[in-house]
Amino acid sequence: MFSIALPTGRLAKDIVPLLAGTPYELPADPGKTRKLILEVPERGLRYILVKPSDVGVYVARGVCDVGIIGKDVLAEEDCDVFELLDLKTGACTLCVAAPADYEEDTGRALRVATKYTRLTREFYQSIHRETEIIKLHGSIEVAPLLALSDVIVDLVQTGTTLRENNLEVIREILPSSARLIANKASYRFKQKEIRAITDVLREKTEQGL
Amino acid sequence: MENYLSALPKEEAATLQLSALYESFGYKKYRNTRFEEYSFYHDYQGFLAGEGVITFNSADGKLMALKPDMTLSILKNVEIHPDSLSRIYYNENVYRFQQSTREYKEIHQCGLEMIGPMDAFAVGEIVLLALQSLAAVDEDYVLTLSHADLVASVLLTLPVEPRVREQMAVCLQKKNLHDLQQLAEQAGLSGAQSRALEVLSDTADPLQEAAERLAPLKEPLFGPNTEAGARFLQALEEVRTLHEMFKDTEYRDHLVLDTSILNPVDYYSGIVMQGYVRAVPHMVLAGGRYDRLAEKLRKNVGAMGFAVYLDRLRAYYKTQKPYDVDTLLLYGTDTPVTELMEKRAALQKEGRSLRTEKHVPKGLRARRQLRYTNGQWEECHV
Repeated sequence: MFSIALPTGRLAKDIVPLLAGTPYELPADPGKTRKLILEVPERGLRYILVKPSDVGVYVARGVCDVGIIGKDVLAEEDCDVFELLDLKTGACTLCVAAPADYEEDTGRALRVATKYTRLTREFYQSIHRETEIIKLHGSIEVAPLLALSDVIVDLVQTGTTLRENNLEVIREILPSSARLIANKASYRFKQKEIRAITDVLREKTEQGL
Repeated sequence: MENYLSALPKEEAATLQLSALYESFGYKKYRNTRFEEYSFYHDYQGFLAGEGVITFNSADGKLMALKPDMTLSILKNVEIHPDSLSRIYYNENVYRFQQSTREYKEIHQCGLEMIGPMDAFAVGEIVLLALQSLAAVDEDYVLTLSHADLVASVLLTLPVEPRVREQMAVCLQKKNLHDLQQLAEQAGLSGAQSRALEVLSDTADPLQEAAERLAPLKEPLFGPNTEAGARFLQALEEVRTLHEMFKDTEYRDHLVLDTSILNPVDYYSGIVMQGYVRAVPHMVLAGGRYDRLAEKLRKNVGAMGFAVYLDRLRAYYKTQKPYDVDTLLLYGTDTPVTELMEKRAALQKEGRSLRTEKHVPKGLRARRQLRYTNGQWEECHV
């Protein structure tokens, strides 16, 4: 059985049309089904639907042979996997954002609220800026409005949420989109299958879905 | 021997098999203290692939380290004879601090090192032993290999900053062609240079096939008579030699040249290897030729070796057996001791595992029970 890890949530909406009409078409809409494991025995396929942040773990630990994951999560989790293809969907950017009238106080450590602690630490270390990183799990935009932090580091797709909370992008850190990843050991034993799904998705991606 | 091995957990069985294999090739067992002075490892952090060393203070105030690696220790401590090869194997635990998980790890390794005047045949012996080590663990295995200079010579010839070169190396390790193409475009690389990166990002094929795919890159990339071009050709030649050695053997279909294996060229100088078995979703064998590490330790000799990560087998091979013992011998106060001894000896001779008890122990799973009744052994219900 060839196992594919897919993210639930926002990215799933972009992946369904990507797989549609290919040999990897999903047997059910992940947005509607409550099943977490979907099997298509006649095609030898099994789909595992998991939280976007867990896709890398399922693939790196070999439960799934391949998976689709956002570049932002992949970089944050630093998974030991092969990154085979940019699927050019689910595009967004990891950005630093601050209140519209924000002026940085360079005389003290910058307080940054984020769920991307690793990427945030690496970014500020690269520009030699002292920071106090505050780990949050959601509603990051609230943090500077309530003076919990000076700025936030978060994923920005259209910018609507930022604008509605009177925040604006002041720096871009990492452009992100969905990526096809593979387990390194699976690549040795299921190379034919992995190359096949890579080729199909590359063709689909080049057609612009 | 086979009977006993099948009764053992995979890690323990593999340890015995690998030790026997290495002894049969004339390798001598090396045992070392668990502790070394930290300063020694500090100088060779790059060789430990960024994993941390666990340190503590000795009674006299010296900063000590729990041994994080065997190769460094062996290379530093063994006596080297310039005219003959030293063959050493080990079965040891090493200790590391894993930055990614922030955990201390005890890693069980069984491996070997060959140190001295290396030649192609010696390299072939190490590759053969790596193949046989994987075969001892699982019949379904793949040994992927590359040459340290194969990718390094290409990257060093590109007109890019060291920072970009490092980023390109990371992309190659991840088979990440899309980011690699972007870096090539930003750096203004030529068509031949971009094409070379594209081929390197996707090469994972049988040795001969891969060598044929890589050879045409030489002329457009390096031109005639360049040092980097000569290194590239020499690396390909070593791969072809291995193909010649193994093409008519049972190992032929288990060998793959994969250019995503990038060991640091500061330490590695020739063939580098990673091994996989189907049941384990992680690399279980790693190694290569490390003449440059030997040179840094002021030992001007060739050196090559590998380690099998035995602790990685634990979770993926079922050790759950249907029974704890084959036979449970139940005796009473009236059972003659000689009868008991004779029966036990007879069963052991048949290769059966057994326990002798007066009563059935709680939780014990025996395939069958024999009770001594009326002067003879009778089978009773389990």
